[in-house]
Amino acid sequence: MRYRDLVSLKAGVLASAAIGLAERAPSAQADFASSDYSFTGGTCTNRVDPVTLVFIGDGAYVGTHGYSERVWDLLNGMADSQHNWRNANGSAQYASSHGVCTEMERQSASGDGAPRYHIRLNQTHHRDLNNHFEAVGTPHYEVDTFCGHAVPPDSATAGDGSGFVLARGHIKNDWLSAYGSGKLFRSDYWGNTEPQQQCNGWYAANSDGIVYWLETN
Amino acid sequence: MLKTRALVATGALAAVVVVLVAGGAGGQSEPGLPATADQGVREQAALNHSLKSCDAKFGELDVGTSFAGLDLVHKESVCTDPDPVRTQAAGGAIDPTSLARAHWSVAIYGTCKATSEMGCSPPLSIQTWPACERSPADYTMAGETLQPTETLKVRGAPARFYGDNRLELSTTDLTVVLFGDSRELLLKAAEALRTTSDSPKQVDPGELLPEPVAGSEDGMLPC
Repeated sequence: MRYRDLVSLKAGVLASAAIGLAERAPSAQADFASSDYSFTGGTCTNRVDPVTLVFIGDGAYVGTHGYSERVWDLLNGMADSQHNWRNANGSAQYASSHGVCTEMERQSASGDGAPRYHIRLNQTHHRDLNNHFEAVGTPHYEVDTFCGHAVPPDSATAGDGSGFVLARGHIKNDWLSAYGSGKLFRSDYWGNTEPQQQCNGWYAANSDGIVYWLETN
Repeated sequence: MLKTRALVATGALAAVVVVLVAGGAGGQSEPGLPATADQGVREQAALNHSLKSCDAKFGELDVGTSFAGLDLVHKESVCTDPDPVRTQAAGGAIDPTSLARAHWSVAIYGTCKATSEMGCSPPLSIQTWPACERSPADYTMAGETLQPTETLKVRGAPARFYGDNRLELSTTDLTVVLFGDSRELLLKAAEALRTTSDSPKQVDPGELLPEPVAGSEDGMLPC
């Protein structure tokens, strides 16, 4: 039996079709569902940033968005030698989960001005069938340009990946440094590799289509 | 996706087993140390012969210099290194899903209105990937196979929708991924797909697309 088969068996089988919007709902077992992009408005139709991080765990603060708030606190609690993660103000974006399109609740960034790492968070609509909370994130590395903040493409980062790939990896590394090396729960391959046009004419994508799951417990 | 199964095909399974066993033994046992791929893992990944060389020519499809009132505005190719990681779901070993990488060419049609902090999706983007590096069998969500929302045939080739904004086709040893504003536009673009002039095989708009080679839909195609 191939290793791939073993992984499939371990994970359990089966998947269901996506529901509504551009949303992916893979699993009756886990009952996790999220759009693979954020959107500009409350109809969740105009795609902006790819989802490349999912946070999963059991604990959440009290309240409707208690889990995304907890993730936000944990993000702001990260430290590296060059950045001070903190609450961020940025334009509102939306994401869908289980057929519900809502404004993303929280934002965190590695600094107040670009260049910086920046992430928006959206808590999924309900817990999965394993009673876990999930929140998805759209991390990106953004720089200042003549038109404001833009995410650089692969070709502009000296081989480090686009600003989407760069930020996904940077937050993953900061998270593991802050909360333990075992906190990388899984890697998914969503294939959400669409190039997103930036205000200065760049095209940036989650080039490899990978999504990391980070654990909060 | 590639590596693990393709390595089986190329007879390099022993090397993979070494990596996986090593990962299982050490992946989560050192609190405080990042569980990112260590140098040995990176070197092993670099030895993975299932990846198509970034310099290798593979077919490319687009819809010409303009389509449905949309001009071809951008073309580029991207090829990156994989970044293997150890995960809980893989038992502390290298997660096979993390062995994916970017290896595609893209043709982008039309523009959209992006502003500061707010990128946007062009009306139509056509990515071509080697099927040995991206196939419908590779997709996962929450660790389980991600199924398409609809399967169909386009010009004789197996095709799949993932929502209304992403249509994929398998032809020869390629996976063609179309992103666009609507299902209608994607279907129309798929009918107009043609190979670029420097592609190994030539297909004109409207012609039947060549059948996918064995293994290109189930993720078993070695590079």
